[in-house]
Amino acid sequence: MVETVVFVIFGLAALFGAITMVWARNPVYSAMGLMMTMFSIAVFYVSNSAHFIAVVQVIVYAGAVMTLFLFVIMLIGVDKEEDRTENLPIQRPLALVLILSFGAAVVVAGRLAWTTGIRNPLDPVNGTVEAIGDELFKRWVLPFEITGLLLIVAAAGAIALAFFKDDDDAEVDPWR
Amino acid sequence: MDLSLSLIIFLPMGGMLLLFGFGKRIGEPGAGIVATLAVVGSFLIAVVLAFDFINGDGPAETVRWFEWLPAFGVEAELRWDQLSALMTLVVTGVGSLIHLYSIGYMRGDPGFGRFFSYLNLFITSMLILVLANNFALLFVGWELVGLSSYLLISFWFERPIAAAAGKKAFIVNRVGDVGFILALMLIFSVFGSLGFDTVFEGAHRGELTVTMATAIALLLLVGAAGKSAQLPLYVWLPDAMEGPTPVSALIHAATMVTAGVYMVARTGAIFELAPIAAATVAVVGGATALFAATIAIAQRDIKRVLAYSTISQLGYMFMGVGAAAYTAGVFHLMTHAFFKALLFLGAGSVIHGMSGEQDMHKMGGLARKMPVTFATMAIAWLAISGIPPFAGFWSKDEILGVVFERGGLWQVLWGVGLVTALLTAFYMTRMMWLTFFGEPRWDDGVEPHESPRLMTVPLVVLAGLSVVGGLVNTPFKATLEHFLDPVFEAVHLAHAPDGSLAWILAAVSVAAGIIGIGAAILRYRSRVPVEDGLGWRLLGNGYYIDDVYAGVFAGGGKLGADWLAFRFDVRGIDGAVEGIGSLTRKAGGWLRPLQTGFVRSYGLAIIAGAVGLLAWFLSRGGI
Amino acid sequence: MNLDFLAIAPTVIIVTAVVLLLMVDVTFQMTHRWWGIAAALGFVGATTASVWQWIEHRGDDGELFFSDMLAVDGFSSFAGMLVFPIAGLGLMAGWQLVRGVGRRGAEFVALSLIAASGAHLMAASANLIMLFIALEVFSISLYVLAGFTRKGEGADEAALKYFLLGSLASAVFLYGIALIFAATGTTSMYGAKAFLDSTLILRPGILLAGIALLLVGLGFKVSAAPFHVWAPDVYQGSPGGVTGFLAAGAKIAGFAAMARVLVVPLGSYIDDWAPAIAVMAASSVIIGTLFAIAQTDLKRMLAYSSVAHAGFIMTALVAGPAGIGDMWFYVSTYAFQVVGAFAIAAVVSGALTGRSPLSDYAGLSGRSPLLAAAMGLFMLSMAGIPLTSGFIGKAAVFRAAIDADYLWLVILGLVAAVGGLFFYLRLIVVMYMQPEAEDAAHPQVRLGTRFAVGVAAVVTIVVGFVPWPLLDWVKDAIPL
Repeated sequence: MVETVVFVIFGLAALFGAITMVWARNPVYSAMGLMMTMFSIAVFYVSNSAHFIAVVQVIVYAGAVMTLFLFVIMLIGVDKEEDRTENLPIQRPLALVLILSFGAAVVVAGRLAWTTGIRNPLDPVNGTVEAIGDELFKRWVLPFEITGLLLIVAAAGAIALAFFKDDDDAEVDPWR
Repeated sequence: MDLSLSLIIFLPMGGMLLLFGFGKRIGEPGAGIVATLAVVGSFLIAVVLAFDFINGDGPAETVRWFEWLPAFGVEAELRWDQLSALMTLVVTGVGSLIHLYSIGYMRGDPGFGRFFSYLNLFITSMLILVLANNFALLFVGWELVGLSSYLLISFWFERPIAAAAGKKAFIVNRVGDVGFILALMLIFSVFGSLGFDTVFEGAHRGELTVTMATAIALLLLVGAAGKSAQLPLYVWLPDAMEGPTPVSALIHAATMVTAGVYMVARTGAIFELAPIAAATVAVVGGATALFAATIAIAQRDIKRVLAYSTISQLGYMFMGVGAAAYTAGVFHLMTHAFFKALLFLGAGSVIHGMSGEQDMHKMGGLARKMPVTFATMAIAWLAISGIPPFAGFWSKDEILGVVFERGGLWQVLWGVGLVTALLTAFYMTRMMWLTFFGEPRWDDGVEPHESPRLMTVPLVVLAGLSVVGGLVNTPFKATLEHFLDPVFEAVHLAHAPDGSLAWILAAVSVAAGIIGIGAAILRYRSRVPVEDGLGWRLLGNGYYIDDVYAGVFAGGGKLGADWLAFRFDVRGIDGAVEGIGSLTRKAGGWLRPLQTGFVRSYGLAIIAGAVGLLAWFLSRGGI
Repeated sequence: MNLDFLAIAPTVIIVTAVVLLLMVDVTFQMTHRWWGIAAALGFVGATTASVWQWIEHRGDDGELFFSDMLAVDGFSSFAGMLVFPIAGLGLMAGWQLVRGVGRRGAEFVALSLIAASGAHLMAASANLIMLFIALEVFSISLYVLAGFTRKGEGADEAALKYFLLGSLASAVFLYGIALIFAATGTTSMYGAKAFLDSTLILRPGILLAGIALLLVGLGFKVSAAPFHVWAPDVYQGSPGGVTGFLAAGAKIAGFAAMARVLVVPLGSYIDDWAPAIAVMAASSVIIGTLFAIAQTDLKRMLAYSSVAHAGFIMTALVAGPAGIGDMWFYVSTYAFQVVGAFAIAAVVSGALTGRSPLSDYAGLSGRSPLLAAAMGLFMLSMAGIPLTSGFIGKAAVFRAAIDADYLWLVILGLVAAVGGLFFYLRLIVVMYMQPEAEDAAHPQVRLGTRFAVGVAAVVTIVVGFVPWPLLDWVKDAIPL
């Protein structure tokens, strides 16, 4: 019962945060909306006894990532209002209809039948650091390592795109 | 056998590759000689190989190259039977003469080497077509002849009209190909194979329902009508005359356009099961014959007369094969190859002598200036008009006889054929008279002269064939019919009448020819009448069918393409203003273009697709 | 716990090459030749490792590794044998671009290597989470590569559009994974297969919704309609040296992932997804063909043509497991054609620029007969003219669909194939029959491009004439 109440409250909060993020004119509000969503999701983790993940979620996303976002927003300047004129007349109504039907479809699908598959849902979840580490470095070691590759991509890509200069061209021949 | 049969194809293929690579270096006339020798070589081999058949005891043979599409039960396999032998002989025989002629005709053309490599490519493709032992290889040849025809029509591509003609031929042929390829799919889905033997034997064993046979046969007819320029897909052929004249002679008169006739004859086993489709073939043929003949009457361009005449004669062949007179159809194919190639080459010689003039109203009186051309063309004229004993008489008469013999409504078709014969004699005489007789009406500075020996020798040879070619299959001694019997063994053939009826029919058709000739002579004997009434203009422009097609299809197609492009696609990455645009490199500008970009429309499309998929899957989920 | 490094040998080799390249380059400021050597080592090594895996595991000898995260079977090793050489050829053809972007070239090479590895991992993933990570590795590398020149007209735009829409598709894909997990209780494909094969689910709504969302993500990757919207802009905007690999790699990886996901865990639901695939195939073929006709830019035209090709390839998938071999045949031959075609486009229109108006190609036969001939060959093959690999590929996929009783799809495909002739042949007409512009430059064809185009042309012709070795091989390129 308590879980249901918690779910409803924070589910609504997560939705509200997400909508705020998209809707807000001021980028700072958007960032705050995102943070609200992140935090609400962290609460779900807690309610599923995944305490460690919840903490990581708060520290990494709500903490580090959001801070970074805010820095960037401040650098660009908060006073920049976006231009909201819509030049495709049917775009917005169509988008609304589609996204509502998308949501409705998923909800309908969810109401149909929840087959929970192989694992018994009543098994206690062990959300401790040890258990996660155990899973991560044994069963999930390969995806974990490949995620490292993803980081290389991110780093190399960021460097490559950021080091671009306008005069960066063949005439600056670094190879003799 | 294996090697020699393959050599028939490989010789021109080798010539083609050689000339494609080194045509420029070999130069003139070397390139022409190489190409001609390659085709002559094929012809000689074909003659030797066909010897068994002529003696009457050669079995059909197959030569297997390699396993090509195992999934379709298709091997790259050649078939050497009487029908393919005959076609090979016609293709390589007439082909060699035309190659020879082209050496003279194309003298001095900057694309000399290229021209001969295309010609050899065409011969190769046509040989693949007639020698294939399955529908897949047949289709390969079918497409390749289309390609080489396209290349040759637009050979002088710097002339926009030639390029347009090539394009038109290509597009119309695509329409036909759709029919053909759908037919192949149906055949495969019924028989699980595309091999001739499997399919035809299966058809005989009754594995084909009448409905299916009719569907396949009608689709094949669409393909054949495209390639053989029958109604309503004939429109490309007159324009194809923009190619060099030897090309018109070889491809658009003697060989490629007969591929449709060949195909119908080859698939006789299927058409036999679909009488409605076969009758449709005959009706299309008859209608085309009459229709094109009327147009030919009013043409001023000598090559266009011949083009419409070709369409009309192809109609005869369709009438023949549609009436299950496969031998007669193929027979007419052969004789027509002789005299029509001769007519085209003669016309080429005239055009050559007149320095490129093609308007018959500006000719006249050429008989004395170009005696060889005149004499040979006169033979072809009599042949096509159906005057005995020239070649055209025998084959045309046989087709008409068979059609009459079948009785009932077929006799209406016979009447159509007869009228066509009369018209044919009329417009051919008109052409001959305007060109060779009467007062000279040449433009200033034109000095007509006989063509060089290189061009007249093929004319003489073809003239000889046009005289005696018909004698291989006369009612008195049906050599060709016996020759082809093994091929059509399993198919029920319709036969021409015999006895007094045969004589009467022959007399009637000869009379039609003579009336046509006489009428034309009376009309054009003394002067050239002004041919500019409403009717003449209607006929001269081919009933304006071209304009109708252009308006309906081309216009519609272009409209559609434009609409698509401008309606949905034009913005693309041009949307610098409204779309994402090129991202300005100033950091502040980063966000703005993002939010007014059309990326959101793209995103919408993706979400729409997702909703569609969800809807489908949920409908399967027990809602 | 058994760490079998041979199972991930291709990935390890690629990553080693990447690390070497990046580290050594930072330290010693190598010339671009050394980048090339590092890339060559990586690609050749990875290909060799894939070949070894192929020999060991082809056909029925597939195995699962890393607690069912990775499948090493004929399917994955064939994908490796295909994607690494293709990426290598693409990189060779785009070397002009590597040299034109200054010191950033090293990152370009590294990202190409990683993208190829990600593509291979997509084919080898036996777990949906693993598949998602591999997909991200592949996609994010491509996003960066697509915008690499930054200043080329449209490169930024292409990259950003690709990135935004790709993220949307990835999010939907991830949602699909979550729903599949909800329905089966596992993200392992083979675990899900075992569960679904042995359990009768009366109203499998959540599972089916999951399939739908997975198809969105994978359809995006392979640019199947209606998820193709990104392709034209991205192909056209991204620099010429990238597009070849971008087009070919996305097809290989996307179809590998799609085939494994559909056939392995969802194999028992073929009656549900096959019609959806058929409709996607049909709409891709129609949309791709129709829009390609209206294009005046070569790369944009090839983008729409790739949409149509995605449709043709999906035509094989409606046959389920029986169509996997035909799918591979088509994908592999198409990959070579498309890499070759874009290699030529990179020469004629420039490796650093995005646009490639058809007028660039006017009279190419006069300026560079070999390039024009090769381009003509690729166009004929894409059009499915007999005696090219494209014809056999179309024959193969159509046969698969006929066997699966999708005759309507085949007929539609045939009609579209005939319609497609228009725009493929238009390029040939432009190259051979239009006079060249007076200021048209004689294209400089470098060794790498020559090699890439040569290999692609040889493959196209040889497979067109003697298709059966490849047809035999793809029979063994089946998932475990």
